[in-house]
Amino acid sequence: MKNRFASQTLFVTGFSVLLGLFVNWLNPNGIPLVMDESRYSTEQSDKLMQDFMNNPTDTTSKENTNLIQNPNLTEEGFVKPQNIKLDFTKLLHEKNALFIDGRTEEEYKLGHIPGAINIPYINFTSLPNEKKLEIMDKYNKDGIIVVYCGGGDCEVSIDLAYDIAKLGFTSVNIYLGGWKEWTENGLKEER
Amino acid sequence: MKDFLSNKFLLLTIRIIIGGIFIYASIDKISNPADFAKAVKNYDMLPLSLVNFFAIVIPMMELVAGLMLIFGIYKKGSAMTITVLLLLFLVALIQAAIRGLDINCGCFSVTDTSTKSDLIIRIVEDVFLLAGVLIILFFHKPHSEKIPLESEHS
Repeated sequence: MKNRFASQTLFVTGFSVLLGLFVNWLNPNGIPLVMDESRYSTEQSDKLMQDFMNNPTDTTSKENTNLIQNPNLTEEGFVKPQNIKLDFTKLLHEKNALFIDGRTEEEYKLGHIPGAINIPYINFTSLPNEKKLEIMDKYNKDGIIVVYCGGGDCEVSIDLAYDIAKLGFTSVNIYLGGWKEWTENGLKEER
Repeated sequence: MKDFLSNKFLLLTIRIIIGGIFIYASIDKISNPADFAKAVKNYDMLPLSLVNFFAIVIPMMELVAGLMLIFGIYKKGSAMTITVLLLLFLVALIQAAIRGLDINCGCFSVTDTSTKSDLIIRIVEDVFLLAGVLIILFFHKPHSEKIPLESEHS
């Protein structure tokens, strides 16, 4: 009896695992078996910061060459956004990079990084490309952009950064620490 | 009480409700594995390398076990699978609530915008479901699965 019970459970589990893998393989929205960890890696941050400090330029200048010297072109032909840490974020903030807050309007109004503009990802991502370009039109495509969201576990900054990079912006950075880390460090807020 | 809990219709009702909930909960996750993977990652319990595998496999376990429970195929095996899943979810939810993670539950819809307080509701729901599935595990008479001829010989 016990054996039958265990073998039934094993069967249900094993069958589900195989079927799950198969369906995921068939699913056009399927995902790779192992997640691309570079999505969350901030390894590049220190090197990017070093490059920036060695060759500081106006972050909004068309002559900006530092971050795009090694354009990390993806297969789809856009420059891959880079994850950056707090120190580099602060430096870029001092240098007037364009900060984009990807949270909702309500959250943005409660407080945000000074000077940041608000582009709620949830509204932005469903827009057609022309509309997205219209919104981003006034910004320099080679200017340095820093995208952030709530921090901690929010993914909105990553998704929004990729949306923006795909429009042709060549220096999009993601501040993963986000609003949470920014305020925890007692940095300036704006309402 | 024991008689009541082993009542055929009560057990069938519980099976349909729990099976139905599990099937419903699995659909959105199976069609949007990337979003569910993010929800799994946010619980911050698994190494990143395992997140996708769990996000692919768990919703299918929900679907298969839910269907089997409703249609009465391997009732105990599917009930046991559901028990294990519910315990897993319970641990995930409780640790998230204790650590104060402000995350989407990812329980039913992967794109829902639930917040901290919803985690508590999910924990309570989970406990109710667990109670239901334990009734099936303990009070479902195994011989009722066999066809009459077979049980005469056993």
